[in-house]
Amino acid sequence: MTQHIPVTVLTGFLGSGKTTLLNRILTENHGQRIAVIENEFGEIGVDQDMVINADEEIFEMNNGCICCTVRGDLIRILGNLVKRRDKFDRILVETTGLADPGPVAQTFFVDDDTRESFDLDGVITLVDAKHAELHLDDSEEATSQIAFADVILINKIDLVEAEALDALERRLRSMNAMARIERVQMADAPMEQVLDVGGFDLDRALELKPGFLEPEYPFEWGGVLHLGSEATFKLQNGPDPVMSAVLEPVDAATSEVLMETAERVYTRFSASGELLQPGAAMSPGETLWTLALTDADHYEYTLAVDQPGLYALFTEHMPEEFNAGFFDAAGAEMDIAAEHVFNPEHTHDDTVGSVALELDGEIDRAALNAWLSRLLQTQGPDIFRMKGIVAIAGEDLRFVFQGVHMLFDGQPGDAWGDQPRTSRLVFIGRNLDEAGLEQGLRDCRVR
Amino acid sequence: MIDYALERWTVDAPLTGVCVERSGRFAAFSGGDGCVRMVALLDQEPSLSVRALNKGAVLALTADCRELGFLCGADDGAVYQVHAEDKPRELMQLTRSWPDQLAAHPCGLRAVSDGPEVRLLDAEGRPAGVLGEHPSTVAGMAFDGSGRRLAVSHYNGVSVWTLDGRFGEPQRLFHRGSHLNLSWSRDGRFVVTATQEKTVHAWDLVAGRDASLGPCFNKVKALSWSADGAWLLASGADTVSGWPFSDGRLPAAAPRMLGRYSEQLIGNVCANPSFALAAAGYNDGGLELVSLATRPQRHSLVTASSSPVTGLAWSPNGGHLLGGDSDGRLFGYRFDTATLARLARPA
Repeated sequence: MTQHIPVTVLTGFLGSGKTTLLNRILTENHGQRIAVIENEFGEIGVDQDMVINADEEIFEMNNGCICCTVRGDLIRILGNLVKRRDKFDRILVETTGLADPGPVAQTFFVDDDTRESFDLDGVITLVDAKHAELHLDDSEEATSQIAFADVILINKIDLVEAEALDALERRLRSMNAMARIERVQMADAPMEQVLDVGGFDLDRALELKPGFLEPEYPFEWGGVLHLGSEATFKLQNGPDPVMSAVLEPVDAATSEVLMETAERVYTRFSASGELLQPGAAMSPGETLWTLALTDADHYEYTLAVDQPGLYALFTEHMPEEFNAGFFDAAGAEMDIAAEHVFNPEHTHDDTVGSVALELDGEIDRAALNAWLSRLLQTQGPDIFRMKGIVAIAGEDLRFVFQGVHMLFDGQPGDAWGDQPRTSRLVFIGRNLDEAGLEQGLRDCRVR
Repeated sequence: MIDYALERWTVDAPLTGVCVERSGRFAAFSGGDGCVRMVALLDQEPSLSVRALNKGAVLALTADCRELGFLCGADDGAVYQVHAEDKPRELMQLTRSWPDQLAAHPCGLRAVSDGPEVRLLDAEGRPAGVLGEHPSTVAGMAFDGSGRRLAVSHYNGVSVWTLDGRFGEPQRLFHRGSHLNLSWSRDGRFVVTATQEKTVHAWDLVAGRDASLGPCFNKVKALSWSADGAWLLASGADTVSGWPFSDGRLPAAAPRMLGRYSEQLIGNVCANPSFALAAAGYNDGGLELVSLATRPQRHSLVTASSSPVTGLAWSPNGGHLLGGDSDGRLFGYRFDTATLARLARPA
């Protein structure tokens, strides 16, 4: 049995730093012989390594399936490299900035000869911190490079403010929950971050831990107040002429209670609010209040409750932004017993996203097969990558699988042993229907 | 029982190609170490004589246009003429691609793939024209028997160039997908390619028809025509796959399975140029002679070595069979014609 040679794919838009990273890998003293397959001879320092020119020749398989586009040039080049007595330790494939990584990845699923000698180790996507948002807004290719990535390197972070970086990272995370995201300058990623990633290695599928973000909320602030008799919410002009708010009774003044309550009330923010004019009263309950904050310098709203006690107020914006405060009947400023700042929702409308499913219980093998093959047939073009660990009824071993578009690869993995038999699946794709996917998996459960 | 003389050599490099030059006196093995090793077939105790070409791998090897010569393409981009009785000579150096497809014809023409183009050289090594660019990198090419046409395979089909000195537009044979190695039928009527999708595609240039043959179990790495031209043989299954072309028409898609089934897949097949026999090399290193007579029989020559047979070639008269595997185990058989005639006879 011959050792498979790992292949790392470097993608990223023009100017994102691919060549810098490539040079770094080649010049680092790792003692490995590396062959680089790229589309243009760049200014690359090569000593014992080899740089091979490739034209990114993509072809569609004759079966007419759009997903089965593969890189014929890669098959040919890898097939020739394997003939050498002095084998390379590693292959790097650099794609052009506008390339969709799909055909590269699919080549490793489709071509038997390539599979026999090579392993696709991972897709590394470089992102230019300064221009990434623009590229993601404008380009399908940029989106698919993010969706396919096992590692995303946000490069040139020194050129961007911390807040913009956070926003970019959140956006990337929302698109691809599977990838590891690292921030770098001058593409100075340590080798262990980009090599031996095992992104397509079923034996390492157990490391699958989708990095989902802290949830996002339609409000930025929640605070607990002790309300008895009349209290007044005083505001000044802020960034918005109106602000939504909800008042809800709570039983304790802690951050945890606020977070639990937030889960209960956030759906109310999707309703259309009831517009209040200054001086009017907000009461607790189902109503979403919309406070009018125009045409004056100061605004007052009453917080009116029947039962004295602890109440949580959730506001669309931070109170500071409106220079707001709470005052009792005597005009004294009230204490806020507990408060929590929530992650506001971000309004980028990326159609690419990740769905992670978790389900306890036993999955029926036949039902799973039927569901997955139906899913891939109908939504294959929209599913960039998927991975899963499944508890098949009657099987001691985990079933692990991964896929790229319509291509699918699965095998038995480690034994469950004492671990809870929880199936975990992650999909990265375009216009994914989370509820539909969840229902689909649920329907595979043994009744 | 089969009578034969056998020589074996072991070298420290994968076998990338093997062939016999046009006089039938010398065979050459190309290696993944940049060397070509020649052997004089008529010597009583033949030994290997080594020609080192480059540090990488020799990617392609074919009989050159003249006797005693071989044409080699190496992964440093150089094309070499290797002569049995002379020093190797570099004919050209490609800068952007590997010369991994080569063809030569006794009329004095050589063809070298250079990415999507084909460079022609004359017998003296002078440039004789450029064909293309083709729709993709050239994946296979061959002269027809007359040397007047060169067929070139690429994405979505084959281009057939008429080499009348004008190189106008080629005849385009279209079929979607990636077409790899290519072969002409002995009468020049059919062009066949092995495809990425594990099929063989055949064009009838006279009738203007084409057909997909197969699919085979694996990608077809070897295509070979039987001595009488009646059979197209292919590797890629657990028996030799054969399609009959004897009645002048494209055959049905499903191949005839020649010989018994085996546990192993055939990675290489090569028809004897004189007798109704083929050599089949298995992916476990096994080697057999398969009779193409009405009731095919197989005769085992070599038992498994665990490494795939990566090259097979017959001498022009069919008396020698050369080959080897990916671990550098090389072999040369010498058969007498009476033995071959007996093996090829219908059982």
